[in-house]
Amino acid sequence: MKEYQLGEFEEIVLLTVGVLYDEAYGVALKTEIEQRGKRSVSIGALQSTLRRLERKGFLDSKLGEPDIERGGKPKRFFRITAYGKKALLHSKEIRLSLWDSIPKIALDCKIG
Amino acid sequence: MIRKIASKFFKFYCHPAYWLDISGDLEEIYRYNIRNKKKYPELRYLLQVLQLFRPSLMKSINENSIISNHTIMLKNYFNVAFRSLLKNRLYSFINIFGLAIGIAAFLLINHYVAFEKSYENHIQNKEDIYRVQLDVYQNGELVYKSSENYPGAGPALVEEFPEVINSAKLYNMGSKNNVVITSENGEENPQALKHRKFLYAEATFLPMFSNQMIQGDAKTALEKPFTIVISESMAKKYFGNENPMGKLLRLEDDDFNNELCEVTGVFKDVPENTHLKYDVLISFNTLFTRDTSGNGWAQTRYGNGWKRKDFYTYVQLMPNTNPEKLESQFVALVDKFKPQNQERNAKDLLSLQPLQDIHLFSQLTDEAEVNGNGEGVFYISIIAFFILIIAWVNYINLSTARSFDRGREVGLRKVMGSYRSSLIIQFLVESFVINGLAMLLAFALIFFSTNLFHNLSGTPLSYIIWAQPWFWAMVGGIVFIGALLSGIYPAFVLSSFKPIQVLHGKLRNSSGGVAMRKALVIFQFAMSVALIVGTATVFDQMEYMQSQNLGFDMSQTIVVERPPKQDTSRQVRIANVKSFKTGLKQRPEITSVAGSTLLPGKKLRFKTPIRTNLQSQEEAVPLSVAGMDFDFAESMNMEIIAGRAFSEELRDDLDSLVIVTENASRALGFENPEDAIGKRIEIERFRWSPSIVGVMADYHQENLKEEKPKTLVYLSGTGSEYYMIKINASNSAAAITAIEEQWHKSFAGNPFHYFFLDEYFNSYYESERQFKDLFAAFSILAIIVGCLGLFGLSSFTAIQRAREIAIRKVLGSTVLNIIQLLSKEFLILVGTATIIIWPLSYYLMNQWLENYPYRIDIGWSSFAYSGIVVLFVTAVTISYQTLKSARANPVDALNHE
Repeated sequence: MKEYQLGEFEEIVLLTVGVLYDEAYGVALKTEIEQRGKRSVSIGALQSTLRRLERKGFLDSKLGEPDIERGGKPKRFFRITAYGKKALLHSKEIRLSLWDSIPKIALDCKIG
Repeated sequence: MIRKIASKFFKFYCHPAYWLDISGDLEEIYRYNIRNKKKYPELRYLLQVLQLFRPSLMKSINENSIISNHTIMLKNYFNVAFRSLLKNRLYSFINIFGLAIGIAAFLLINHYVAFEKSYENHIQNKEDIYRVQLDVYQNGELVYKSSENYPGAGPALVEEFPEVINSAKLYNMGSKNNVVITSENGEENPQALKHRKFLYAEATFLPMFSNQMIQGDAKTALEKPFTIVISESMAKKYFGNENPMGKLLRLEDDDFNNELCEVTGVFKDVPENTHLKYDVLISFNTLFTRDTSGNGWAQTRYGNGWKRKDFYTYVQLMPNTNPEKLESQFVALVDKFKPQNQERNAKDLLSLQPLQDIHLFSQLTDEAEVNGNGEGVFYISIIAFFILIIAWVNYINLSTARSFDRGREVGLRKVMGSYRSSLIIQFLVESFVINGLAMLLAFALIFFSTNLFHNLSGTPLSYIIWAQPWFWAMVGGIVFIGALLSGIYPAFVLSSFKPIQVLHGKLRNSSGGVAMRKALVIFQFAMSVALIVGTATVFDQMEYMQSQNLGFDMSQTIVVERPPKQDTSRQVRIANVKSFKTGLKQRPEITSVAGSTLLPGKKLRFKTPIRTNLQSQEEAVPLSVAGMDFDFAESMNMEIIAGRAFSEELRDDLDSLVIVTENASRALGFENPEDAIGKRIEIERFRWSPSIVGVMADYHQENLKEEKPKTLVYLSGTGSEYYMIKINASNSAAAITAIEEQWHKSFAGNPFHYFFLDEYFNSYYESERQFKDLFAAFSILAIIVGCLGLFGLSSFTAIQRAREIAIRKVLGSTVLNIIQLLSKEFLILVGTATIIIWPLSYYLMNQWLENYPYRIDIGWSSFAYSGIVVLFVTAVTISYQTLKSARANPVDALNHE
């Protein structure tokens, strides 16, 4: 199932697009990931990931209305496609099955 | 402002499909930042634009981009360049080959120059280190400029001036002292080696000269007395693979010093490019232990005295100290420490020599080695530029000469809508291709001539040309600058043609272009003539210096130094020397043996004021003093012009008689040599008043770069330091064996070393020889490159005038007429070049000869040579083409239409 393979950052971007649903455009995605993930996101990394995901078919997009706040330029809103949903589910399944298979004792350690 | 540029840049590279919304995002963040008063919103904007600069967001090169058109045209230019190269192979070959020779010569010469300039580069604080030079004056006359100094100078400088951080004193360069060092660790056959490159060094020396220690600590290794530090290769020689640390070495010299030292460090061998080469260093404090009497003489002699002056003294200044300002205070310093100068009418001048200038620009007495020739290096680097320029001029000439060929192409391109700018770029690309190919060929030339060049220039093989960073910088520079310089003129000329004219076939060379070409040919050959004159003069001068009568005969002479290890009893020593001399004289291979304290070739160091007993003290003149044995003058063929030589039979010779050279007798006030005979002289220094018994013809103590000395000769007897052994010409190998046998018989325990006097004497011409060979080799190359260009040029003229020649022949011209017609033009150009450059080269060569006290007059002959050589070479070069076109069948040329 190689075509469903997602990178770590790709997966987070994809999920956040889902979270924001109607409002998923560049700046909103950036702030959302930064707040939730407690990490800084460079706009370059985010945009190139978005375009890559779109090219692979996980995302779909359309332009909004011109916006004065943005110097008269429109936002581009992203949406998860059905194929994208499949990829997310696939990755979730793998993780869950891995979690289920860890024996309890392996996690029974004091961290630090 | 920053934002504007950044957003332009973003628009420039961003894929158009993404640009609209991402730039909106950028704008939104920017406004948000401003609203929230974040710092540097513009810079943040720029940073984000840079973060977005990644391939996945960029325009693709093939799609809708402006770059692509250029790229395709560029590709096309390269194609056209290669096609035109292949189309006219002779032309391409001449161009590329000529350029390659020029470039290779330029790079090789710079290799030599860079090596000569790389001296002391391995020393970290080289800019701040200076050698303290000493100029000694007596009665207002310069006695000598010395590289060595008073022992007190270094310590006094550190004490008196806060700018002087540190000083290091070195004593006894091996070339003067006569030393054997033996390993003393109970071996059965201990190594005993005679040393030249050894020094007594203060503890500060190792760190100051950035010595890399393999074992031991640079800072402390030379602190204690009787410690010794040796180079890696010396450690190998004495101890093989054993650990040298703590091992013992015994030093013995001909002053009866006998010191047992412990090895406290091993340093990496010093590189080739340093003026001070040493492989053994003994701690300076060892010298103070020689004072067994306890009256403190060693402290004055080696520590802080201002009497003897035989210490190399180096000082390190604070960074950014102005050395001249510091030097101006030295006069007061000398006055303070040497007040007795005043009454003796003497003057000592201290000055600072930058460490890095020593190799090329220092010619003082007692240099650690024969230094390089800074002026020669300068002249050679000018030749390098000459050759390169001659090669570039070739390119310019040949490309403009070919305008006839290329004109139609240019015309057609213009008709098809080419801009002039794109034509210029096309021709520049072509020039770039040719220069690039020439560079590749130059690499091959350099690669194959490396060994030859190292022999010629004396640069060590370990200094590898390809490993030098400047080399690659220069390679890049030459290709680009060369392509531009040589390409720009042809590019403008060729691209300026009017299509209608060229396509109509009316193109003739513009008179301006022809004049330019003529000027360039004159320029090229002027440089060639200058180089020939230069070569001839340098050769003549060298020949003159080496063939000059020196005043003594140095052929077939083997020199041995007196043995370093000697018996302390004077009786035994005299007996040993006697047995050595008489033993040798009995051998049939040996003609004569004579001792002396002087060695021809080596500067006489000792000078002292001397006067006749009728003169006052003020009238005393400094004369060099040297000792010779009874038979020295006769054996060395030195002429006695008045009085007599020393004689073994007359007993009072030893204590009361001296011989002077003719110029010394004149300096003492005797008009005729005969007047001096029997006169008494006073030598205050020795409290000695001998009489003059003979006057000797002046002789060259040193190579001809130096004046003949005014010398006073005393009888050295058994105190001789050198023995000149004349051998029979027929069998020098047998003679050497004979000397060695006798040496071991008379001076047991001393290693045997010898050298030929003429080789030693001529070794002082080494840098001259290098200069001469390089000059000659590269002058020839320059002429070859110039001729290549001329050959190409003549062939083009011949082709262009093919129809004219054919018609002339049809109308009755003879072959000879045609040859005259074709040759005349070039011969006139070259002749003009010759005449123009003569005065300038005369001036330059006279300037160069000024350096030599004994020099040739530049006669008309070397000018005549240069003219004849150049005209002859020109005639031969163009003869191939002229003959070919003169003999061509007119039908072939006229048939074309």
